[in-house]
Amino acid sequence: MNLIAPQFVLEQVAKAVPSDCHGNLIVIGSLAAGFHFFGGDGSLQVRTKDIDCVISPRLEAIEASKTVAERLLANGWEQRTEGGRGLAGTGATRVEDLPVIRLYPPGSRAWFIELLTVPASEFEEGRGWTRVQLGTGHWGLPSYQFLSIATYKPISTRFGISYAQPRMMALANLLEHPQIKPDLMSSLFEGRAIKRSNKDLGRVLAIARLSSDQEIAAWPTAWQEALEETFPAQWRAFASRAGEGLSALLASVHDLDEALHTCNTGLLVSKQQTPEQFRALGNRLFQDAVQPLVAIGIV
Amino acid sequence: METGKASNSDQLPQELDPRNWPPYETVLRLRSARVLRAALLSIAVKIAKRPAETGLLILVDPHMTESRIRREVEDAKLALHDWISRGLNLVLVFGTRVEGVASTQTESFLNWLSTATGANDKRRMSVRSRPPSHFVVLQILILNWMKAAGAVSRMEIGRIAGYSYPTVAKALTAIDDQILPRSDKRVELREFPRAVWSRMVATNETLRKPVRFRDVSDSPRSPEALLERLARFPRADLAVGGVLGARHYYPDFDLVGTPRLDLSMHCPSGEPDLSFIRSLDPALQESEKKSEPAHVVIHLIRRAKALFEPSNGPIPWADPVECLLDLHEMRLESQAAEFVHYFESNRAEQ
Repeated sequence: MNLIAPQFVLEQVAKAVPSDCHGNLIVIGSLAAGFHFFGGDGSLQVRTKDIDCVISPRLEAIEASKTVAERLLANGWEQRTEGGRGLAGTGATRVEDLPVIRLYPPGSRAWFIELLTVPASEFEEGRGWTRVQLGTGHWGLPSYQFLSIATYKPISTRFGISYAQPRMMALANLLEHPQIKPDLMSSLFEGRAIKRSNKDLGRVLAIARLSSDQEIAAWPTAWQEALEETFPAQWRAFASRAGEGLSALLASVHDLDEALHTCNTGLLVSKQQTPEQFRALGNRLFQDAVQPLVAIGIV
Repeated sequence: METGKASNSDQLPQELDPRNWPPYETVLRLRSARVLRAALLSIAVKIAKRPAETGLLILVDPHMTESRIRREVEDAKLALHDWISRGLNLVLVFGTRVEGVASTQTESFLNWLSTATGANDKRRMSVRSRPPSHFVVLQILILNWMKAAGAVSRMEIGRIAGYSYPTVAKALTAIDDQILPRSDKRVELREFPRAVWSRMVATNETLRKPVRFRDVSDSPRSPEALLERLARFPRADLAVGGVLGARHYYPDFDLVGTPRLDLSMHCPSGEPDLSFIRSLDPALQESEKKSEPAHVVIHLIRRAKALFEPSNGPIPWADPVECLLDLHEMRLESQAAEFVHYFESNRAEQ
């Protein structure tokens, strides 16, 4: 994990990506949240290494990701090869075994961009894969079930590319983790092994802490709209269980502590929380935003 | 601790039939780790006897902090077999709010819980002792004086206070020198009874026994924001007092900002239903330490009539004497004196 300035990175990515693909690129994750909440303050930095870029809409994902990747590679960006998944596949490689397109900017190993896309339909569960053929071989474009929520009505930047609304990333994380899964993050988070669920649900709380009461009061309505739009057949079911992961997090001292660690060393580094404050934050969010959505789903 | 007992209940919905209840243990107003550990052992034994089921440790309105409780539960789990530990779930009930396992979201669980814990009952609090009758009678007389409402009969005072005629008569003898003599035996104060009032104010907190809540988050909500939230679920037994109330009666009230939200709760029984606090803001926790700053303070009004003043919104105003007592409790002495002076001036102009 490295400290990076959101504004600088977004600008650099936007400059490197062909302008006709700007409309296809939505930055999500901690960089997007960091840019939203303190993008204007160049001194505030975000602790991350991967800049997740979602290529949308799905119909244009293959072409757009090819254009983006080829341009970046031509401009000196380099494929990230750590972790044994950095070598291009061939036509014979199963799509789920293909490496993800992860590119370092020229002359830096502080961060890399990772290309993803939205699911093909609302019924695509878990992680999906799309094959992308570049000059260097075959690559995989992963998609996750709730990326269509995270990228719902993204916010445009002056650099041309967009970033996800923090409240939509929060909903995507709530839906992605209906329970605390045992999977650990691939690397230590400031010296600690952290469950991915705790990191993602912790981010929901961090986004809530950085938002005002008035903003949070509007979340249930905005969440309902996004759910209805992106999951027309299943939205009520998803809404009704949107609180399960957060409820599980708040019920476990250990998991809540892991989530707190990721926040206090990440997005909330300037608004550090005590465990008691963090729990109060979670209880407030649960009451003000999650419960109303769950109630809408149950009706 | 309370546990379920089997009974004939063929007509009950499934979740209300005690034969279908999961192993559970309930603790009301938990105050000590010792009781919590005993309850943990008890529920662990119950789960061990019914291994296929999920057990619930239900803590209703605990007085220990949530983080402390959860730490104790996690520690206890370390000493238990994995299969018992997995079956042990903590459910916290704060008034109407339930927190715990994911199944606490379901209506059937909530139905079961309300039956198992008697959660529909009012919050169980020790019955608070009534303030002395002369204090209550004096409050009524001061209110009458502030409103320049003239003399009032002993019968009327008794009706407002919920006292018998002899009790009112006895209370009046304690403040006899403050009363203006009248041939019709109705009573009114000569003037604002500063000396008597000062003595009473000195024991204000003892007489009123306020319930204090502090905000444990790092971003306390303003009293005005809390009031706005309260307006979403108004209750007939609550009224706004304190600085907000004082400002209502005396618009030139000299204080920048509002230090806290003072609410007066009409509670003749002395058993306050404070379940609304959780809905008002889950970051509020009851505090028994006077040294800690309180964000919300509830004052119980034990007399028979609340004497709330209607407002333009859904929450009425507490009477000005309640507001005055709140100011004294906040040590806003110069503002309290000015507040009294305002009513004196009003009377003088009439």
